[in-house]
Amino acid sequence: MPDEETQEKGRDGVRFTRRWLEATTFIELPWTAYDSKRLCVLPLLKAGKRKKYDLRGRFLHEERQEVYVENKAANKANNQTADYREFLANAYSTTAKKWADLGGDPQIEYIFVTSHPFGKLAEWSQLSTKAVMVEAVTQEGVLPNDVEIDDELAGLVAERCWLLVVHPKQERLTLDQAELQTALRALERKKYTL
Amino acid sequence: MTFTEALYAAQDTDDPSAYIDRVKNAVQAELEVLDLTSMIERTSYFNHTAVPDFIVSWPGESGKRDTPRRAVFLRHSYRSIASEGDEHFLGSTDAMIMAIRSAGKKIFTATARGEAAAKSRLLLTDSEAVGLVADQGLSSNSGDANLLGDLIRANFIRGAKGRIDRSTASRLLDLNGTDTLEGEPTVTDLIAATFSEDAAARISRTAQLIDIASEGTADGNFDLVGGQLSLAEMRHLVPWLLKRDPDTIHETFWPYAGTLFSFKDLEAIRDDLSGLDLTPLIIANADRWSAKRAYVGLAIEPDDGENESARDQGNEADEVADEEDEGVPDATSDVQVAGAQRDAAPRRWGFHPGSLSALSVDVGNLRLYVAQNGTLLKGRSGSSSATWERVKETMGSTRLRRVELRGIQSSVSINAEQSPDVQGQVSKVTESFDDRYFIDAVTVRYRAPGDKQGHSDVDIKFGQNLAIAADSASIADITSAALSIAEYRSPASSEEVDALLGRTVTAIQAPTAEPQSD
Repeated sequence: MPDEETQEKGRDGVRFTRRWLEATTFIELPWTAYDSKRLCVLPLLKAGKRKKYDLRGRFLHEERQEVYVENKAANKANNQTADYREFLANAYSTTAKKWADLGGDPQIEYIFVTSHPFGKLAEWSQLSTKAVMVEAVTQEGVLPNDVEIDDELAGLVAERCWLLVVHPKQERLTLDQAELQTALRALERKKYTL
Repeated sequence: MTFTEALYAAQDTDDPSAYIDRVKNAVQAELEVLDLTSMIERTSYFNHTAVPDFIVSWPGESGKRDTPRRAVFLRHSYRSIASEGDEHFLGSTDAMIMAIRSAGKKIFTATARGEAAAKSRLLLTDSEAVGLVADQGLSSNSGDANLLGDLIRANFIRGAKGRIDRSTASRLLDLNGTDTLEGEPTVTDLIAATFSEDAAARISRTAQLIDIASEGTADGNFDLVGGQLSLAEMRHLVPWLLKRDPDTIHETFWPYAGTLFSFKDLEAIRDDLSGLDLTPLIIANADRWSAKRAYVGLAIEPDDGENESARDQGNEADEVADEEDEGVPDATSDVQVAGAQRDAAPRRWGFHPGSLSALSVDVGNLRLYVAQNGTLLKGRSGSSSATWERVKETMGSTRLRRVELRGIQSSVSINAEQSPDVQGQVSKVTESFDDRYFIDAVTVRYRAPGDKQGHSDVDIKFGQNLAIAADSASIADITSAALSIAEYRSPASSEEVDALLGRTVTAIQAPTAEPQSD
């Protein structure tokens, strides 16, 4: 597939995911890597390295945690097992880096959205455990030479990683623009920030 | 700094909250320049798929049951509009979608427009196009305005539709003069394609109005698209017409203009009319337009520092009842001098700068204020009372409906329901009892303004120098009530009032006040 076509497909997938997640009323994603690259990157632990996410926004729950989304528009499993492992390792790395920079917990949530399942279905419930996180961080080599993995942090970040599989038909189960506007007006999701 | 530059600077941050605040500030400022009559409400969302960034509304327009509104969505670029599928998802709405950056518009020029898109009222535009249209207003302030260009700006947020990028905006703004719509289908087509039906009609109608203003029509029948002018249109059209050489405005035009908007609408745009001579417009519509209040004060020129009526500041002489005919307060002597100077004074109706922002006109050193919006005229806080003898002289043929007589020993209320001859009844009471009676207020009756059926009662409060219509009275009648009755110490003659209203001698012979006899 030509690069441009791949990019268009990726962009369509990001658009679909943004619309779907925003239609849940629990999330807003105003930043995309295509339009606001600068606001969609997070620094990694290794000096000078950065990770670009497809979408950035916030949950609209009371805590209003920041959320970064990695989107995979796939029609087969491809190498998503490796992609997902890298996603987990990067989640650990970016949270650890932010924590160090801020001197406190950045409370970032990470969502991996794909349009096709991958790996062994029997292991589904294990995909976001602390053990898998530790394994991913170790295998991906995201730690600088003089830094050891923080077990507690690995557990914390693992809890903040989401894996969602979405089917294109989900669009038919999604609130349309007018319904969503009505719902958000009634729900006042943003009242804590006004 | 242009709008595009301001947006570029606003985006130069790594802080998402600062980014949103700065971009929204810049956009809001530009939208305000585009349409001063709009109210812009900012939502707490940015670039959301379903919730707009702004809701623009146009409150307070007469004749509109629901407040007109338009949702404004911000998107980063045309490319993101395309990938979001906004034309599809928002296609059935009349939203305005603005690309912050104009990059990626090739996607749209390459896409054929379907029939559904042609019918849609959705507007797709970008910051460059919006900036260009807004600048039209800034440049027109300095010289001879391109009125049509101004109207395109005034109607842009409210009525523009389709895809308007910089080149389309340029073509729209290049439309020039008053004769461009006539016989040039491409211009009409362009306006029809880029503005909603009613906005396109308003723009075309204004072009027609400009023609009518200068040429009129022989039979006074104007084949014009109906409906009232919006405040946004008025802000441009009315000052533009008033600034023109009066000789270039056809005599049939001003009465016709009075059917396209109300006196209340005129008050709503008074800041845009400050200092302009409104005389031809007011006298042409003095019988049609209604007003709620009129107040008479002393006219003091602004060169003394305060352009306020001496009465607004509480003249001690006015706080005392003029108990005897011979005990005329000093202020009255001044007014009598003023009366002698009235003929020489210029009679210009207008919204003059000063402490009271109501429509006013000077008669000698008296200044009459007229308002439909009651909050513009509260009157002075006086408590003086008139004697019946003084008031009686001012009544002329005006029909009296109610009088409250306040005596030292007793008070008497006389109204038309009890006696058709209120004047006679009042005289009988004041002559037959051994008491001294004062009058705080009277109610007089006029015919209802314009084509309305019925009548209009006007309360005259002598203590406050105010005439207040119970419902509404014509500007002509409330002017007469204020100058001839409320100003009872030195009342204006009917000839003076007629001169103020631009009436000819023939018109004087047909007063609008109902005759005294029933």
